[in-house]
Amino acid sequence: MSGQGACFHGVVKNLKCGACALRLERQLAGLDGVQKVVVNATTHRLRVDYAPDAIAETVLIDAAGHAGFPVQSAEAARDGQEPTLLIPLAVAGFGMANVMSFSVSVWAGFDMGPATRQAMHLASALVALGVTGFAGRVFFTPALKDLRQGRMSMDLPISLAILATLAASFLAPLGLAEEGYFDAVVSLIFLLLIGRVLDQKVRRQTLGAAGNLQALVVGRFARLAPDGRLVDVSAADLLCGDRILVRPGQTVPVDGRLRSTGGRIDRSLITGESDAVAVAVDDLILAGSKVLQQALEINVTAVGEAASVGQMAQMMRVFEDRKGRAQILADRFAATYAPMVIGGAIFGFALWFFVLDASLAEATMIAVAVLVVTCPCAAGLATPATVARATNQLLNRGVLVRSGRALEAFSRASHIVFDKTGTLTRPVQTVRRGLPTDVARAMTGLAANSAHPLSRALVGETRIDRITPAMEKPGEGLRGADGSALGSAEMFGLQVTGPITASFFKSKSGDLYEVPFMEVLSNDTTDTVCHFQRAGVHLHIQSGDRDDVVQTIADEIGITSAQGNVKPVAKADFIDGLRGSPDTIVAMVGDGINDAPALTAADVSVSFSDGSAISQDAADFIIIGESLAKLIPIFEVSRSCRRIIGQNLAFSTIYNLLSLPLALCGFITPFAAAILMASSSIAVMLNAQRIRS
Amino acid sequence: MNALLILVPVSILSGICGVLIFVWLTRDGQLSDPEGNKYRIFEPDELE
Repeated sequence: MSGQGACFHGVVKNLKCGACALRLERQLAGLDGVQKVVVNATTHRLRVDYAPDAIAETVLIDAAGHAGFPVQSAEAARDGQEPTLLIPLAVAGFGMANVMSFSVSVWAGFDMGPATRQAMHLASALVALGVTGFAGRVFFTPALKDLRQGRMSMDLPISLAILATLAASFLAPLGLAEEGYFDAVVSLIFLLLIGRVLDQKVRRQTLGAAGNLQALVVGRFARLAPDGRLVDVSAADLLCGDRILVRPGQTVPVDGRLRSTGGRIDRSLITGESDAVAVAVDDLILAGSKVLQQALEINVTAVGEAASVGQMAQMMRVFEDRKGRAQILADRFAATYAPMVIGGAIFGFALWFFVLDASLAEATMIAVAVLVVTCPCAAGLATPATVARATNQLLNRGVLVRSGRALEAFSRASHIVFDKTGTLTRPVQTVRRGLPTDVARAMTGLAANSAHPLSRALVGETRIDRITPAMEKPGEGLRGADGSALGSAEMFGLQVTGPITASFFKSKSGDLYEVPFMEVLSNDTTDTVCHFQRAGVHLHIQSGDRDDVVQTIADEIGITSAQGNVKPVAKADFIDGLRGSPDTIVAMVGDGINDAPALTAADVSVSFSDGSAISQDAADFIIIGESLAKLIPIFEVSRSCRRIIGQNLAFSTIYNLLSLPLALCGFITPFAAAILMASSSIAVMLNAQRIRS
Repeated sequence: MNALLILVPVSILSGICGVLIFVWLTRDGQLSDPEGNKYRIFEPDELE
């Protein structure tokens, strides 16, 4: 079996526990051609080594699906990006244990002669040097990097403390001082690393879970199956020769030839120029192009490496966004605080060395204690650790969080504005029998262009013979290239009254048909609305649907402020209008193209994974599936997140204020300072773990 | 005290061995799935 091996990476759904992982492993390992299967129950990742000539990737995916664990192919987990801190931690722990054993024997003394003591100091020095050189790089490297760019980060005072203690300690083996501080050096590194390891663990979990959800949800495309049905597949599962429909706002995941007559794309991801480019039938569309206005039907010609470009870019944007804001805050904090810490240390040194006549070593130790004890590691961790934990909790509940700032904003939300169709209600298409078959066919062929809930309800599971190329006008409807149209009454200049939602379809021959929908409230709408009303949040409905329909729904669920016939831009204006005082924070929940301006205008916004790509781009939270009830965990988690950030910041401020004078007075040895600082960081991390949804 | 000249290097070397084993375990990915491994201990050994 030494032929060409291939490797399949994927994300596994429904993995409840390790037992499930083993069951899946056994299932797959039983297949012919599979060489090795590893299912990681912690990260929900799957890796299969197999012989491609004996078994196809699709067979693997099917087999996993039959076993009850749908698998989504994904890029290999990118663990390698940031090396694990466990190894430096182990090295520092080893060093600390050894140096301690030497130090204790020196302290205990017994009959130790000067030569033996010297040997002990020397052994300590060797170990401490090795540990500092290896494990200390975790702090030195970023500190140096920041210094070169003219910035100060919190790694700088830590590095200075480590290096100053190490330098002062060398007085002992050189015979210039009675005692060394090698134990302080290594325990400082060890204890600091504990905090870093915990922090890294939470961040990895969060990133991993976010990556998994992204792979499962973002970048799903409508593929036209050979039998004419539209099937929802992920970009990674597309094959050459497939026909796919890329809707407005989506990024083309593959290279392909355009089948539909024409459209416009934005190639800025590939070329950097953001002008809209017109494309015509048979044109080559490159992966990474963003589709504007009109859905494109594409024949896939290349997948794989080329195909991943667009998706990668999309994913990167999501992560950069979240990291960006948290990082900026932390950097700004460090930039103002780090010089103060260093200033405090210099002051301490000067005070003891020049004024109080302490020895060089003693004064250095005071300075080191100040550096360590005032290092606001706890304060620096307070916000990121809590946000990471909250994000993690929400991810587990099926909510993608795209920025830490959004958590803060949602926790203060005083107004929530809902879109109606697709958010509060689900449309169910009731009357199709009235339509002649060919009209119904033409209508679904047009509706397939849109991700609007009404269009999705129309298409459902029906077969589509031909997709009519069409432009989608937000808030109105679709205009087909052949002259057919599908949309609201207003689009056709009709006046309709009554409490029922209806769309209209004009066939290319000009006949007009009414397409009534029944709207059912989503199961959890009433409960969710009640929850927020009890919490004192003002609720509003802004819908593009007819006003009488909107009022009926609003009465049913008990929302008093409801408005229909709202144009996309008017929704955004309504939100701006609400924002009178600084205490007013407006959240917007919607899924359509027509909600995009409002989602952007709101302080914080929520969209759905089944909604339009444009609304997802604009949203801060994306709810996986269509469950409105997930707004409740978003609200609760973001509120407890804000509360705990407040507690953590208060705690670390008090800790720093109390410890500084103690260190300046010489009551805290460097060793005690290291323990204090590490335990304050750990306290903050543990407090963050209290966030539960 | 001459015993120290032997015992101290021996203890440091054995400690380094321990660290190296840990490094190998981490790189090999044996610590990457605590959730799955707690069930794997019940699995009968696979015979190659």
